Amino acid sequence: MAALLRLRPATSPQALARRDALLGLLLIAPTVLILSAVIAYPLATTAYLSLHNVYTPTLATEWAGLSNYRAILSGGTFWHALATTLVWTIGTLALQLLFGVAMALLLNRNIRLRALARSLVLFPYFLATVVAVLVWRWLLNGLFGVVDHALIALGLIDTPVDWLGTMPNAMATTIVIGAWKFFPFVVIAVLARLQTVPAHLYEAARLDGAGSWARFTDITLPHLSGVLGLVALLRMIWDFREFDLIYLLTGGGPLDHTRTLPLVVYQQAFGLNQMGMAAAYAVLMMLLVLAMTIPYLARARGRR
Amino acid sequence: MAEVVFDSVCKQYDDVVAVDALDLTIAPGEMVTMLGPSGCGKSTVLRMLAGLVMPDSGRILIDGNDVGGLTPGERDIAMVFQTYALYPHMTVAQNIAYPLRKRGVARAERMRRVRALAESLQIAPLLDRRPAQLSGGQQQRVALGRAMVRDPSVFLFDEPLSNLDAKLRAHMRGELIELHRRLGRTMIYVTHDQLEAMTMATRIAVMADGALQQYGTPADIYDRPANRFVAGFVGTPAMALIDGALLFQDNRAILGIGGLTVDLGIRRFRDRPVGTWQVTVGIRPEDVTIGNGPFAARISAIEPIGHETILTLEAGTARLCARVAGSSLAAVGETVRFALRQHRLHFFDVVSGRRIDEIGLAVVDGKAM
Ligand SMILES: Nc1ncnc2c1ncn2[C@@H]1O[C@H](COP(=O)(O)OP(=O)(O)OP(=O)(O)O)[C@@H](O)[C@H]1O
Ligand SMILES: [Mg+2]
Repeated sequence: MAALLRLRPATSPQALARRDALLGLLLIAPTVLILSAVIAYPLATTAYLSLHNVYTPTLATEWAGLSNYRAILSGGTFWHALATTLVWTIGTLALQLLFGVAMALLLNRNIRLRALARSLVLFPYFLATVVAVLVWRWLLNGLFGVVDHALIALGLIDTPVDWLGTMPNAMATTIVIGAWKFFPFVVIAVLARLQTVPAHLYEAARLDGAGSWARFTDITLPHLSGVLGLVALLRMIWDFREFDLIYLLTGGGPLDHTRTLPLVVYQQAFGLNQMGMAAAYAVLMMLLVLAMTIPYLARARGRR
Repeated sequence: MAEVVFDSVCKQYDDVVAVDALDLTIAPGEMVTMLGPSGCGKSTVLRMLAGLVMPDSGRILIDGNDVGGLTPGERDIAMVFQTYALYPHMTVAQNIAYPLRKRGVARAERMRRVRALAESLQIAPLLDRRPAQLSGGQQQRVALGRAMVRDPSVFLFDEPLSNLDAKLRAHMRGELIELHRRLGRTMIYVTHDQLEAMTMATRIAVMADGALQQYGTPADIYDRPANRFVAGFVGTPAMALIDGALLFQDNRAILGIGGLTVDLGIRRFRDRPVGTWQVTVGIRPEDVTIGNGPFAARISAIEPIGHETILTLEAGTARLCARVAGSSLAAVGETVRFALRQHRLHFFDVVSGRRIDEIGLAVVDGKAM
């Protein structure tokens, strides 16, 4: 490194630029190598597998061309799972954003025990999914679950509700628990942004006659629009690919009503032992996720 | 035009007393500058009047009405902040129109008023820009426009010019004076800058440690500082404050400071005690004349400013400054003779720090000038 920096003194601007470019290449090389190893290789492998019939236990492989894709796109499973995935993603994302922004606004105020409240809010996010799901299944249990008991005590329901075994309950419950698990991410990002909004703006607005709702829509929301766009994009991608929470909570049931695309991939690969089909599903999912990022990338490019 | 009254207003933050029993009546149409060291509570006073902070006790009245129960928006007050506080996501036109929009003024009327104001502030070509695309001076004008657009009865300024460079600052100072003359509104203006305070104000309020020290015209503040703090704070270079003693023989006052003895002639002071009086003497640099005179001093520092030179003198144990027109040929270490304008000396009680009033001072002063 040091030797590189001590290269012979550059005389012309071009030489200088060349030297900088060389150094730049060298500096990013490790990152490029690592990224290739952990991203490009699995990606290439998946694409390769998706063009073959693969028997999972032996990984015996035979060329299949595009037949996997043809089967997926002409069958009903993919489209049904895609619809289910979209319902889950949009539902849970909307709730995450709603709860997340509301909680961030609350935590940004001068409430007592603010520091404690801020760390408590992060709790669901840091909890292992397995643990969270077990706790929730226990809370929602029809025989001894706290939720049913509380609702009955409040007189809202007469008999225990089957939260996870019927539709639309199962989807609604999954969406709500997903929101509970992941909304802290929104809180952290939004809270960080809120703290950078100059207090003088709110004071000026108060003098200008803006009430609290007007201050929210005219000052807070415009400041949040950037971070909300980014957070929504990230969460959308992650929710779209969410596997463990749904798998552990409902296993895709009742029937296939909560079986989202990642669960289908798992089922294909390890339930039906068709690794090639699973890979084809995965490639399709990746293309869908890529499509989601296009509006964001376009906007970022437009801003520059 | 509105009269503003602070009636024993107090504000405390945790263990800091930001404003301590403020009593102040500001007559309609005054341009008051608030002057004082950092942290003395100037902004707090302004923010309490605006309704952004609630006083712990006391009342604030605008035109005789207690505004304690009114929100900032209901107080008919506009404020210009040091940071301008322009809404970054709105255009200049939207920024200026915002107070009107929040008050339900119709769109056409809003546009008309924004346009008229933009013309008078010379920002008409900027109306479609956003604040980030403006220079500091332009942002300042937009902030001014937003304050003026709804024609409030009181204007508040919290160090509005301190982010501008010296030249623009002098220019804006002139514009604000002109604005005050044209609108005739009551204005309260917080500043660190003495020049700003002296040139813009019809009245100056000097504060220290949350307490009002003196409220008066710039001439009052400069020529008759109410106490040692005001005397030392206002004026650059600062007034020399030297402890000494006044002795009276018949009605002649003899002043002893730092080894100098000054015969002040016949002087009649209010509340004169019997015997020696421990006082602090205040001497402004312009009241020291160099060349000849009864006293001798060593020059310990020379600061040429261009149109004048500030000499620091050591006479006995006393240190004082003198102003000399133009540049000085004197050298550090040299001994010079000097005289004092005896009728322009200021006296303060050593214990209380309060100004010692002289009976018939104005007449004597008039003759001395
Ligand atoms: N929100 C607050 N919380 C706690 N203390 C505060 C708060 N605002 C002001 N203070 C304290 O109150 C005192 C007066 O503050 P203020 O802002 O009025 O001073 P200032 O005269 O405007 O000073 P500056 O010239 O530096 O702007 C200071 O000691 C300050 O630390
Ligand atoms: Mg201040």
